[in-house]
Amino acid sequence: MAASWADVTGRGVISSSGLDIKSFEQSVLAGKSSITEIGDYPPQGLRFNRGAPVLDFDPSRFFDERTCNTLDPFSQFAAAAARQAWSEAGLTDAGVPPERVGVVIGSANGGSHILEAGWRRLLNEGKKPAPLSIPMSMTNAPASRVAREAGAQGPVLAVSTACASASHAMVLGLMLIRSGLADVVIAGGTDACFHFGYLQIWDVLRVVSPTICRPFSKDRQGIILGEGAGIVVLERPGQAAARGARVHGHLLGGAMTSDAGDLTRPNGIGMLSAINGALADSGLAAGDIGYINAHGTGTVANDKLEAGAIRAAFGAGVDRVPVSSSKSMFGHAMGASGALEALATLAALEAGIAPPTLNFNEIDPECALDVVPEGPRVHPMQSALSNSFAFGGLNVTLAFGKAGTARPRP
Amino acid sequence: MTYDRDKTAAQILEYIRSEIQDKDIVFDLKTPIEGVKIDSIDVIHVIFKVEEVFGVAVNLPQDQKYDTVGDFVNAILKFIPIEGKAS
Repeated sequence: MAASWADVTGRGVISSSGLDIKSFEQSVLAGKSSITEIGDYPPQGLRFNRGAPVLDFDPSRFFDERTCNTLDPFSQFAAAAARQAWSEAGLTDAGVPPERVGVVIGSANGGSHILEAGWRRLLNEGKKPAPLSIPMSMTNAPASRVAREAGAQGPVLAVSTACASASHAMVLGLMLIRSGLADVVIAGGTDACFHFGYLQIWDVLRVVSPTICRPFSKDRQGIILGEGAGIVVLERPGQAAARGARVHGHLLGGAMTSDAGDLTRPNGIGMLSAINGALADSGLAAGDIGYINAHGTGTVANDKLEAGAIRAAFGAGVDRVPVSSSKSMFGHAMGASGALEALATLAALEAGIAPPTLNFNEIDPECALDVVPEGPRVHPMQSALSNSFAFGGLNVTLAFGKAGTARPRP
Repeated sequence: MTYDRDKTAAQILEYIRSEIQDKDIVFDLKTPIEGVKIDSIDVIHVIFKVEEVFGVAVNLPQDQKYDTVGDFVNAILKFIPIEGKAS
């Protein structure tokens, strides 16, 4: 009987909450915020002054000067995170045939730093953009870089589905393993958001909070921008044990749905389908779920509809399930958000701690969930969901299991 | 404005030297092109540098093959106003 899940054997992260998995987990499980004032970024005309940029990332720690100059920051983040994950998985010289290794990495923005720099040169100085602007900005640049570093010669894909990019990447990674097309998939997402033009285009959309991110709180005012990369190594079950590698959790299943509707206003139906689909795909019942890492953007519309979808899926049992938004800690990392939140979910499962929703002030009757407002909560659990609901009406829910709990299904 | 052929060729050799990854490789115009391990990104950077410095557009044929470093340099020199004959 073919196993239905994938083992998570490697984890890597570049984020405002830490530049390695240990720091990231400590920060998230302690409920620390990495949102800060963004005074170092040109704030002309912006209606907001907070964000969660990756402040301490030094690319020269990871790449020589020449390589650095050929990688947009979104590729640098992804490659640095993937190296951590690959190293933790212990796959170097493990004997996995290169053509059995795949890469799926999501990004909402692509290499927007190099594009902005090129257009500045062109429009302000009359000079040509940098010669590698196309290969550096293409959305598959991180996937190709990671494939090159890992020697992955199997399916290598980029996914661009806005805020669900990384979660789509992980579902697709699971599908590649289930289908037998790959034995190992490096999956996740990346985006580097803190540059002038990008902050401006979010500003004009009027969904960034002028204060702070307060998911599910009645006085919520919008998102806080974040950035970074999150990567997991997914493996065919049994493979890690054969070489003595540690399993950090299981990706049990997932579901992908579309609203087929408004670009920026979700309808909630697709969210519910994703949650129910992930439960069905992973063979779990709502009662098996011990924690939900919400998409929880902190916008009025998302949080209300997501809460409604969770309540509809879980019914009367919803009050037993803690639901929290990690975006209240490290902001909305766009194409990386699903991966960072998957890593937060895996950390919650392993530690038996439900991370909190920060900045919660006031109950909104339309978001009636236990959002863990008081701080980190000791809460042993076996399985958990992570939601990603993107602009474009694209929805993904992932189902994760604590290491050692996955079982073949009849 | 025109440029001295030999000096310009030496200048382009320096651009190649600054781009290739293996800085220990010793080469000159007669070195086989495979010997300098120049990759597609290096080529793009060298051409961009020449275009910036000399204010010209370098449009090398996309499928052109070069036997030696000198062949590559001479191909670029065709786009620069040069004094002196080809060596």
